[in-house]
Amino acid sequence: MVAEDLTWKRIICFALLAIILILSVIFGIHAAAKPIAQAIPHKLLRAAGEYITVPYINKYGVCDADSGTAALDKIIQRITTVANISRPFEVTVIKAPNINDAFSAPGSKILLFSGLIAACNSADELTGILAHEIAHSIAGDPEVSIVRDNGLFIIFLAMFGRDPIISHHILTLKYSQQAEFAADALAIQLLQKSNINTSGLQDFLSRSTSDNPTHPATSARIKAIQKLAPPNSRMQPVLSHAEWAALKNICN
Amino acid sequence: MENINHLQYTGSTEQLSKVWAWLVVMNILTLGIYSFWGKTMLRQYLARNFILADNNFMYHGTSKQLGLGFLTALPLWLLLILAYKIFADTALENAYAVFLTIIVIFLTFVGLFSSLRYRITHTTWRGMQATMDGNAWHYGACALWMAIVSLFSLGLMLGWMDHNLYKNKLNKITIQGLEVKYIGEAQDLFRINWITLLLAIPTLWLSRIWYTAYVRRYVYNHTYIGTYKIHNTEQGQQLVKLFVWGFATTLFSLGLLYPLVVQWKMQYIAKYFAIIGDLTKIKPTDDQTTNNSNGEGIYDIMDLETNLW
Repeated sequence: MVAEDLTWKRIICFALLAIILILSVIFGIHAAAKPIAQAIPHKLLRAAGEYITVPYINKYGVCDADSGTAALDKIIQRITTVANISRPFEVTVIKAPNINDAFSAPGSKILLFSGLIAACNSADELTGILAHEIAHSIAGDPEVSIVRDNGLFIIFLAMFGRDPIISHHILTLKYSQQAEFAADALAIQLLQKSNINTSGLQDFLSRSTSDNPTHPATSARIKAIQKLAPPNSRMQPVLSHAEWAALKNICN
Repeated sequence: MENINHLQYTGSTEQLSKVWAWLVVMNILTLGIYSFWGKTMLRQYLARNFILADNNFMYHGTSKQLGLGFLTALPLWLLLILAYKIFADTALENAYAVFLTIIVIFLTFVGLFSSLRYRITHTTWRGMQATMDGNAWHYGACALWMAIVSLFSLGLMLGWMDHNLYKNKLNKITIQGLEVKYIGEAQDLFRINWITLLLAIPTLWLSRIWYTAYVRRYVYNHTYIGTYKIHNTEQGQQLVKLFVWGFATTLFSLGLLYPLVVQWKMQYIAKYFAIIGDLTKIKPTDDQTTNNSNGEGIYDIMDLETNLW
């Protein structure tokens, strides 16, 4: 075909086809990411989790004081045992007092930064955050995120010949926010099943001064949590004062 | 009285818009694979619409050759990327980064030479076909050396580099027995290079566009094709205007008016380019392109975009 054979009718027809294809990719990747992620062998997921977590461990170091680690294990046990979760979660505390964050990586790995522990006012708050990260892990969000992110990146790169950083970022932003709401909801369920105070997560979020762009607005999250678990839900404390103090000093 | 044969461009913005829209749509649908067909279609269209002495040019390159060239160059790129992954987070990471930079510069020049050779040898006028001797790797090595010298001279030797780059390309071309000969001197480019370098920052680099126009005018006005002389009259002011308008139009239209910018570029080329001599002496022959070489692999992988050929 030569250039002179092109007609606007033909171009518009194919353009409509291209739009349908783009929309299919956008929504198709979202739908396909979870089944693809679930099909990935656990060995590979653990390797992926290590690939993500080891650089942090190497860069900052690990906090593993015995009594603090025991207290942390107690929280994890409490959440997972009563909720009947059989898979083992590997929670590592990273020695980074300036980082107020936690994230879950593929292969049931969770990284907790010491800055976050320091920012928590009570064991209930830290438990709420851990429940949130465990919820991400149960939902397979880290694995889905990797499949979704790499799949989208590669496809956009091929379609447009350049790295469309902005469109890719906006798309994954939307998915991350959906996953966050779902993780909050599942975390509340886990806490309720485990007889743990559900207001911890809400209390921690209430003190949050800035919004993370990959998370929904904090106020929206608090509202959603309040609907699921009214603030007067009082349960058994997850740690004693001594255990909480030990956890706070896990890096010493 | 000299016979001045002006180049004419007869393409239309509407047709270019159709081609551009078609390329975008087909690249999306084929995840970029259509780019080889698209480039071929565009080059054929542009060639057909450049007319010299009542005869248009013909582009004979094929999408298959471009695709094969791309596949030939791909393993080299994959090797470089793999090596980068291996050396990342090791003691050799920085050394490899320097090495990779040098290699990329080298391959840029290799790609430019081989792509130019491919296009020239696959374009005919009145059936006349060009050949281009020389070795792209040798050209790349020479160009790299000159680039290093220019870098260490803080740009003062760029005139020398540009002179030699043009010389190493133009003097390798023969068009149906007519040798292309560039007879310029490097020192004629030194002063303009120094002046425009000095003015680069105050003029936000626009002085370097002036320099580009000067170099092109100088080079082509000192180039012969056999006994025929190339005549170039472009001036810095016009090239700056083209650049500024083209950039602004592309930017503010978010690329939608890019075909218009291409049209301006083609009209610009035709406006300032001519051949002096009696072209009626050259009798048309049947187009017999026998060059089966593969296309611009390195050029394609590095996405080195040039306007026309």
